[in-house]
Amino acid sequence: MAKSSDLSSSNWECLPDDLISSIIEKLVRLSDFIQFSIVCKSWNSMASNHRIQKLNQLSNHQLPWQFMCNRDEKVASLCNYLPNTSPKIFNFQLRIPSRYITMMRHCYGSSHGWLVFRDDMEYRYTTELVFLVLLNPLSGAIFRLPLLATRLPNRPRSILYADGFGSVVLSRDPSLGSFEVLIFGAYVAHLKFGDKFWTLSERLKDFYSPQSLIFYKDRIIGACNYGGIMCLDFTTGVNGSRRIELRKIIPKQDVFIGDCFLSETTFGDLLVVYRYINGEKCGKYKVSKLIESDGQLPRLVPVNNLDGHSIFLSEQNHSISVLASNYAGYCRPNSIYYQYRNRQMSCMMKPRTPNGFCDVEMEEFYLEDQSCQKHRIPVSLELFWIVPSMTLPPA
Amino acid sequence: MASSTSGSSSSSKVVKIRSSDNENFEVEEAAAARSETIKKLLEDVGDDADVIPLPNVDAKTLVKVMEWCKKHMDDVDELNKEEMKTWDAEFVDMDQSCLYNVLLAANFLNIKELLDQLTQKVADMIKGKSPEEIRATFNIKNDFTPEEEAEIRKQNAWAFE
Repeated sequence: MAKSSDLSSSNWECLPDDLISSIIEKLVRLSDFIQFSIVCKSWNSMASNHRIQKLNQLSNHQLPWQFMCNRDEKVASLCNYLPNTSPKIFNFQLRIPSRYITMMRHCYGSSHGWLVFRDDMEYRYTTELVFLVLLNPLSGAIFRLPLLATRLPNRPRSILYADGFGSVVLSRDPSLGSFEVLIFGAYVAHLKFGDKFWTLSERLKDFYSPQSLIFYKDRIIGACNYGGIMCLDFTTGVNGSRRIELRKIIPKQDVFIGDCFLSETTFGDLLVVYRYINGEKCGKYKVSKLIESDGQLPRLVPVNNLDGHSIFLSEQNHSISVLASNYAGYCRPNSIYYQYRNRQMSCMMKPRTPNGFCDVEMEEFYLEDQSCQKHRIPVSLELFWIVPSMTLPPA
Repeated sequence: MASSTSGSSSSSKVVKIRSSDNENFEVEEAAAARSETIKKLLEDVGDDADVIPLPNVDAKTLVKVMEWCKKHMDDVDELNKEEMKTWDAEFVDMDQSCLYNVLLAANFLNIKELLDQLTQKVADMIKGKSPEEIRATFNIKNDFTPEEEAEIRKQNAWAFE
């Protein structure tokens, strides 16, 4: 019989394109995709064709790292989100200009791997003029957004909350181009990249104020802490001015339900997560899936697992969901990880480790048996996430 | 070498297929028809088919692919799903040269589900590895110059920590 297995017979470099595509499709960590692209020239050229698609697919589904800043050091740490484990601190320096480091108070957290800063040194005493800057901490790329002026005759209050904090979400990784930005607090403001002007909403009524907003399947969905779900529409007034309208798709309830968060799973489901505090040590969580089937009113259906996902939530950062099986040993399936918003002060008052970091609490809630535990992870002053992203070569 | 037979239930219809190295196999039609390519050929030639030649697949690989087809011949009920998963996981656990041949064969024979399992296996073998380790795993020659490689690494330095 002929020798049927010959090592030299395999020629992985020259696999048919559709097979390579199918393999690339199944790489779910950006780091794996990047390693793949360096193996050989033919794989590299296939990877180049898939860069945009992969970045689109994966940008909010990567395990978040914690930001660590210690004097001149700006590094990220790969946190293991399981209890009693220690983080791996990366060796590379993050590309965050020093002027932003001193302005961390003005950071709105991260969305799709980009940090959002308020760059208003020249306007530091006004809260009505907002210059937003998007910064990719891995590549150092920067987008400056047009001025957002919120002090208008019929808008007596700043878009941001009195303490200067609001939330910012992006529709996708800005390096993909044609992205959209939402900033919300007392108002909602929206900008499409390339536009000169922001579109604003009326001042939000408290009951319907969205606590969380998300770009979901070509729409913007919001959730409020009275249980309501809304959809943001854009209308054009008689004078041609565009305006944001909030449309209820699920009515609010009469009782305060809790802090709410929105997250899209890797399967494309939209989850609404409510967090309650009952004077207990840990929060309790309820999760529902938004179901919009043809011919029926949208509704929220409670779920008791996360289809194998781990969800990362914080007040500042855009929620992140990962399939836990892709990060075995780092997070638990069907668990919610919640990080408190810690201001500089509260962290500064805590004891530091010798290398300048301090511990903050992270809450882990396991949905299946409703158990909750807190563990400590070391971070520096600011609690925002660095999320792996990819540098796209110039087009 | 003489042709081998599937040897199981004699009642179901059997088709003959021939590998690139001229070995003949008798396979139950339901199993062989998992391959869209064979299914189409069978439809085209009708009942008077003698042997279906498969010029792109050698005997060793064909045995392997037909082993999968036979296992996946019938619909799986819920109870056997777990067992099937284990079987599939063991099936795709083969050395890289064998995996390569089965992958190309599954592509030629157009067996979508098998292709899915095999490409998933390849992706799993890439997961968590450095480019050097991936090259070693798949016996791939690095055709970048050191300068070219350094340049690409620089673009996404974080991934190589």
